Amino acid sequence: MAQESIVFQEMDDLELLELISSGDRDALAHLYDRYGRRVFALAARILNDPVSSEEVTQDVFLSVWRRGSSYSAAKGKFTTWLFSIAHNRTIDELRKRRRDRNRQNDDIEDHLHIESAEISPLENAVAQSEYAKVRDAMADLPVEQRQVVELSYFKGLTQAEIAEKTGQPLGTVKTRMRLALKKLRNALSSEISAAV
Amino acid sequence: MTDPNSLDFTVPDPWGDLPGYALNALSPDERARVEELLEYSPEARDELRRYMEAAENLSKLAPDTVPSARVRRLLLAQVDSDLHLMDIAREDARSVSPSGQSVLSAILKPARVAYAGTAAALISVIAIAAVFAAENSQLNSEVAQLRDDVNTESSEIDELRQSVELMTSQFAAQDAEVARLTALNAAMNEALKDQQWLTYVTQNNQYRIPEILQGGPQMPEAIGTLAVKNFDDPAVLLVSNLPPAPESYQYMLSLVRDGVPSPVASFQVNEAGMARVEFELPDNIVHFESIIVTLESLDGGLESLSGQAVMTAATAP
Repeated sequence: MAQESIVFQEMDDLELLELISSGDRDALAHLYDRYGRRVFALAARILNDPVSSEEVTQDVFLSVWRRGSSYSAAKGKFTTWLFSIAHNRTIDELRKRRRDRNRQNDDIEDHLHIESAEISPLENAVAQSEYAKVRDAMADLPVEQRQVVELSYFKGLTQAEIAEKTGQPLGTVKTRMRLALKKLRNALSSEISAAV
Repeated sequence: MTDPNSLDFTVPDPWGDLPGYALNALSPDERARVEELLEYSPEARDELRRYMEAAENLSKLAPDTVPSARVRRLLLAQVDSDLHLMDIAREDARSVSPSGQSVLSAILKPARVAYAGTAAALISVIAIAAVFAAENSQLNSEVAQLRDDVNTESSEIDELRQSVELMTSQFAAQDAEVARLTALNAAMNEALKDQQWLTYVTQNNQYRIPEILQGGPQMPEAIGTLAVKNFDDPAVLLVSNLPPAPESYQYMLSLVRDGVPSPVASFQVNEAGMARVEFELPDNIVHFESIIVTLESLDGGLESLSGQAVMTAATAP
């Protein structure tokens, strides 16, 4: 079993995905071990609710299991695809909750740190380094561009809702989104893309 | 001149909505139009890919944290049930002959499909139940551990309680010993007074000491000093190193004449083994051949002497 785990560790994401598409559950387990924490962290950051975030995380990897064969490298990097699924699923949940308004947000702070001791120093250092790069890239954006990115990506607002909330024309919101993403891409592509 | 950024796009602009698509910030209609564009435009797909790669980086701004282990277990339980369902479907496919289905197979197939669905659901429930059972088992184990800890602490408390009881009993024993030593000291003081009295009376009141009684083989340390003056003056016997008489017993002093002892006084010794016995002489001491101290039962009275001699002395002729 340990040897099998080492073999999985040496595989890149696409090799794992190929095994997953052929029905290898252990490959999925390893992919989960590789990205489960990041997917959960993203959901938790947006939903602020550990229970729903865990449900979303489970759903995301179940989608990979059932629809892994639909991924094509032509669409972009595997992680882009994976986090696109994760973000879609999380935003769906957030909007559903906004509609329902029945569910209560739980304070996530305690939960966030329950198992943080399991993160290895190396993993933590890499995550911290990437976090710092993205944070710096965001900080370099003009305030209004940063605002539309945060309202859409982390708060789940549509561009029309952002226009209404900020009192800006829809076209302005779209332009700010486009400029923000281009600047982020330029700032980060040379530093991070090779690492992912 | 109008700022182009302030224009409100009322005309559908799927290309302009690509950033919004990457950020999941579109309405369902806008989304549908973008997907229509992506169907036929490789340039749009390429542009979207770049926006999505930029958007993916935003996920790294989420604080690093770890989901509970239950997520992984539930995920794999679900995967296992999927795999089982696939096995059943494959089995079903193999059971159909290549040349066509028999009538019986055609009848049974919906039942098999229904069975497969039910079985998969059942397996899924069982798998999830197994996950919860494992968690329950872990909780039970933690409860058992807590119970063990409580038992250990209870046992430590019992040990402490026993230590306290032992110390209390030791303190009580020490108190008893102090009381015993206090009584002994009082007895020694009393005996000292007696000795001083004897010294005084022999020096100043013409008392003399005709006999010294010695302890027998069983009490060799015992010693008695008889002081007499005149026939009609009380005689005094000072005893030391004589152990206290057992319960229901007393010591008896007798004067022996012609082999017949005549009891003259009974006495007890104090905690220091000492006693001062005053008694009337029935006759001049010289008319008695010996003096004897015996251990007698309290029930016996002065008339019957049956006890064992513990101290004796022969009178001077």
